[in-house]
Amino acid sequence: MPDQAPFQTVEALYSSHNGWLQRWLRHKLGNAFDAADIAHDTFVRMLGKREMQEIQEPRAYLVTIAGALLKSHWRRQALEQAWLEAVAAHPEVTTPSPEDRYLVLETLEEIARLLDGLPAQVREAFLLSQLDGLTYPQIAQRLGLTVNVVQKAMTRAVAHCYQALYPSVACTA
Amino acid sequence: MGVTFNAPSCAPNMRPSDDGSSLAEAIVIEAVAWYVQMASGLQTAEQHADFTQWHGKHPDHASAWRRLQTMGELLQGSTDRIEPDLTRTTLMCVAAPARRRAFKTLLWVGTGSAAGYLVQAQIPWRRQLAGQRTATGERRDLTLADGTRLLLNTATAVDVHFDAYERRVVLRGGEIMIATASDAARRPFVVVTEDGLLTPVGTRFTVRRDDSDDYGPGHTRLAVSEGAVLVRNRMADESVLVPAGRQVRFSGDRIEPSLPLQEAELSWTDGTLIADGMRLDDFIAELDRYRSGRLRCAPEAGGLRITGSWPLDGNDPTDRILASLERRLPVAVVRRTRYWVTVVAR
Repeated sequence: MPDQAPFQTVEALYSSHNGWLQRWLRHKLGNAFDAADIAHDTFVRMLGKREMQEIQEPRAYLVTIAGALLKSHWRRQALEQAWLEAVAAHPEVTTPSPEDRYLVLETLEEIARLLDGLPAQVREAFLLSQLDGLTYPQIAQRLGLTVNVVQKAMTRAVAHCYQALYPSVACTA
Repeated sequence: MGVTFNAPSCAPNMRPSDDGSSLAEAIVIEAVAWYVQMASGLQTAEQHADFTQWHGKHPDHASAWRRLQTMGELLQGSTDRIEPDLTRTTLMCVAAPARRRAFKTLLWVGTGSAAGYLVQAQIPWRRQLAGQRTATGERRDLTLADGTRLLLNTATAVDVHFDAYERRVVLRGGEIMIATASDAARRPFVVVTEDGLLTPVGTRFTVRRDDSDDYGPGHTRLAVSEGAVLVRNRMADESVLVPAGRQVRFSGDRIEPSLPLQEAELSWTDGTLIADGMRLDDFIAELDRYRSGRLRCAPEAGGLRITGSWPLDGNDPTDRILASLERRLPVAVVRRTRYWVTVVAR
């Protein structure tokens, strides 16, 4: 039973499961290039894990890691799409050079990760405050809210972002 | 103040340099309250003095404050590179509920081509992103740069985006037929709707996107006449391969079981509207797509059945179709105005 071999190295995992993993990813993604990339990243991630020999179900394990990578891949695609739309909707705004596009998406991804899970109105109030530097009365007027509601939204957003950046319990797994 | 700190997730990919030690919850809550206060634009000199005192009172206060400042710098730092407007619009689109996003997009499509032209002229990597739109009742036949045929049905908006890596058609609303051509560069072809992604494999198929309305929540319909199309929906992340001769309906969180292809589903591509024992209310809802204004079916007439085939070409095809309904069924067409028409039982 190869699944129970006690000393699997990443190489052994790679040679027995890479083809299968790429097929699985190709099925999810519908294209071979991204599938190969994500499969590669999956094995790179595994290099960093110490408890390799304890893996009982290598394929389930690979799918867990690859699944997380897939999610961020899709998220990035959605973000890129939204970015293109935003650029199209703001022809008057100076847009970054193509070389900067990578950095732009990287930055947007970071911020999106911070805000993940916040309702739209809370996000918008928070971004108007932190990016545009509007005061709460200005935000309230713009979003049709009371200053009190803006303040509550800000509290929720700031606490949420703090937690996203600094989880208060040390992760052990 | 109602801030709760739940068990955190273990994916802080972006923790800045910091020992990451956890600070007392109460201190974090105080720091958050101060941050919110300082960002308000309303703080008084007195509050500022109070803040300075709080900040100096304990090293953990200063640590918590520094962390929040790091967060603020991450956001404010982005404005060096990206206009706040763009960041906000982008992030709101990614997160916004479906209906609102569709609305915004349609607004853009509507105010359109001049803005689109400017953007394309400015930004090289957008060179091949083009918006196409048909009016109500209009159909348009396009051949894309790779030879793919793209047919737009009534009231349809799409973006066509070809770059070095992929060929992408974004269906904003309405209905399209695609007959893919094989690409010399072997770039994948993708059709995107609000509900998910469609990846065709050497194919001819139609995709229709309906926004949520009186008839139900928003969804996408796919009908495959040649080849096969892989459907993946956005939220549930399920995927299904739909072969030729099948059709399927899906939303962001659910893909319904596929059904045998109804020829009527594809008839518009030949400029024909076909009904085969169709309920009159369903038929009127279809017809409504091809007609400006409001076309409705009275409930008591909705259960009648209609069979037939009508050309969609020419002037006012919907008027001719409505007239033929009066001849075939016990119904009358009541025209309150040109734009408000109701089909009632006679």
